[in-house]
Amino acid sequence: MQLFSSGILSLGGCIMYLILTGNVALCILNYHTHNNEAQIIGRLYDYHLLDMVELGIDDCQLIETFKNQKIAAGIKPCLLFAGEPFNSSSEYQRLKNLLVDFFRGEEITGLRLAGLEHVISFTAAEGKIFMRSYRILTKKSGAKTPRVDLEEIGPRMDFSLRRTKLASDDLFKTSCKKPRQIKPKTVKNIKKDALGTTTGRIHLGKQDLSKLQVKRMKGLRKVKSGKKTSKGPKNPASI
Amino acid sequence: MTDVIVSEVLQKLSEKEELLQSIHVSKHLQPEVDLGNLLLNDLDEIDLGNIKTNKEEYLLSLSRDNLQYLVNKLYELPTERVDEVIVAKIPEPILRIPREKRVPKDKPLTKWEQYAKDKGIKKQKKSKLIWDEELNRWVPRFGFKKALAEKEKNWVMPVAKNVNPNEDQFAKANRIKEEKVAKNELKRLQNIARNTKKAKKPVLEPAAKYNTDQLNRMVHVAHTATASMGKFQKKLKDEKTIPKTGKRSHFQPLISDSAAEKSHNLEILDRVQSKKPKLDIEKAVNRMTRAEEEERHEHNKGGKKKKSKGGKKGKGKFRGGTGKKGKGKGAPVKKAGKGKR
Repeated sequence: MQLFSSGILSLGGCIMYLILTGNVALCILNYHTHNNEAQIIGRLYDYHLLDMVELGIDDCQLIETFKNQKIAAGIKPCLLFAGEPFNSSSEYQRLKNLLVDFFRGEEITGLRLAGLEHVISFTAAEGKIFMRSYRILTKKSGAKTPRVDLEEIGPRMDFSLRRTKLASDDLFKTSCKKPRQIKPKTVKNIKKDALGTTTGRIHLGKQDLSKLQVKRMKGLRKVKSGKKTSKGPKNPASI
Repeated sequence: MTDVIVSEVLQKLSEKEELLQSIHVSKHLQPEVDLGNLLLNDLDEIDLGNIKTNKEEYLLSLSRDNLQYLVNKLYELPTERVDEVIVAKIPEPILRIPREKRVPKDKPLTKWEQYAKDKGIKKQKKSKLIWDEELNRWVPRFGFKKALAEKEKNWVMPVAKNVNPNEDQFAKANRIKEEKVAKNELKRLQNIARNTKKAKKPVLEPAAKYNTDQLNRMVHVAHTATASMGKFQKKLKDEKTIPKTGKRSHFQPLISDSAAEKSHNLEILDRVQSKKPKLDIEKAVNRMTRAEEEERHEHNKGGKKKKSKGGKKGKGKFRGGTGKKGKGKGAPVKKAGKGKR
């Protein structure tokens, strides 16, 4: 899914060929010119460009500079985003979406809790974005949840957001659409109360009041004061 | 003595509290947690002073706190045991990530599915085995075991009175079954054919009888299908010259009446600048309805009588190449004999 290629931006045709033949949807282009190094992260939808963001690299320290034990490749990382721009600025929010798309790995339904090993944190401050990659160390605490400690392993990068070419809102919306089959089927009308009983409501329809039985119904008879309504046991002698 | 016990107990309690404190994270605003993506959005403000003075330690401690919060939330999830490993059930991701490719189109319904939908017929769940009274056992509803059971039951077949006694009833029954299977297969293929994209109508359709229109087309195609595109093709005896077809571009001469050229160019400019809409909607709609009507008419007739109603089907089809727009109705077009052009 990821494609690294170094070169100048005008290699558009070559890149398109690589994208189409490789059937990729996410790509990074590293380029460095004199005094200027940057990365362009782009993603595609339906073989067309969806978003493209240029991040200037202000400071970069590669994995090799951190002399410690690393983690296995392919582990799904935890992603942390901090900083006010990630919650307020729409550009930064789209960038957040792009970074999550890039780093989150495959979608899972179950997670082995002991297997949390990797964290990538993005912090936005002072007009820059600090990307740090840590390894998780767990220690026992009194409770079920362990205490976590971090150790920096991976590449350390300081980005500054430069040019962006983001998709329009409706294109983004259509690209996020889920097929109808995946949508959860809502069961209407059936509820489960606190005791576990399943209840549902039935509509009986409109009652035809002209067909109500009001005559000759014993229960509706008026009771005359003093007289008993029931006849009482029959006197065997009177038969 | 009791003092010692009490102090021990208190010490153990304080140790426990310390440990519990170790996983406690205090935040001004509760971070947004998206467990499906293992994602956490910290809503607190960043201490810029700390960034300036000791950036890495601050970032590390901030990330550690955020991660602790996330891990606390993860450990609250319901868990299950899968192959001796405790696994937490992760919910659906909240943050919507765009797809790589478009949502695939729905499969088109087959003829039966469409009918059932219209009528409101729902599929009934059928059991695999059926109780058979004659054989007194459970027989599968389909499959080779069912065939064997049928054979058992039909070891003898009654012959009706009005039927030829020499006819093989078993063979007849087999033949009927084969026909049914073939019919089912045919319907299945028809469903597929109806739902796949149809190829464009070929220029020359095979038919029992051709009309003049088609014949003219065939003559033209046969004439031009040579290496020289019909240019050096010798004529047969009594063969009429094949007129040219297709669009012809008429270019204005380079040096011509300048007044006419000027007025022509000014006309173009007027048209470009005019406020009238470029598309005459009424005309377009009328044209479309006419085309639809004709298509329907043709479809209804089954294509048997293809009386061409003049040139209303438009240009582009072989009309003898006079370029006439052919508005009038009338007799079938006989343009091949119009002479050279």
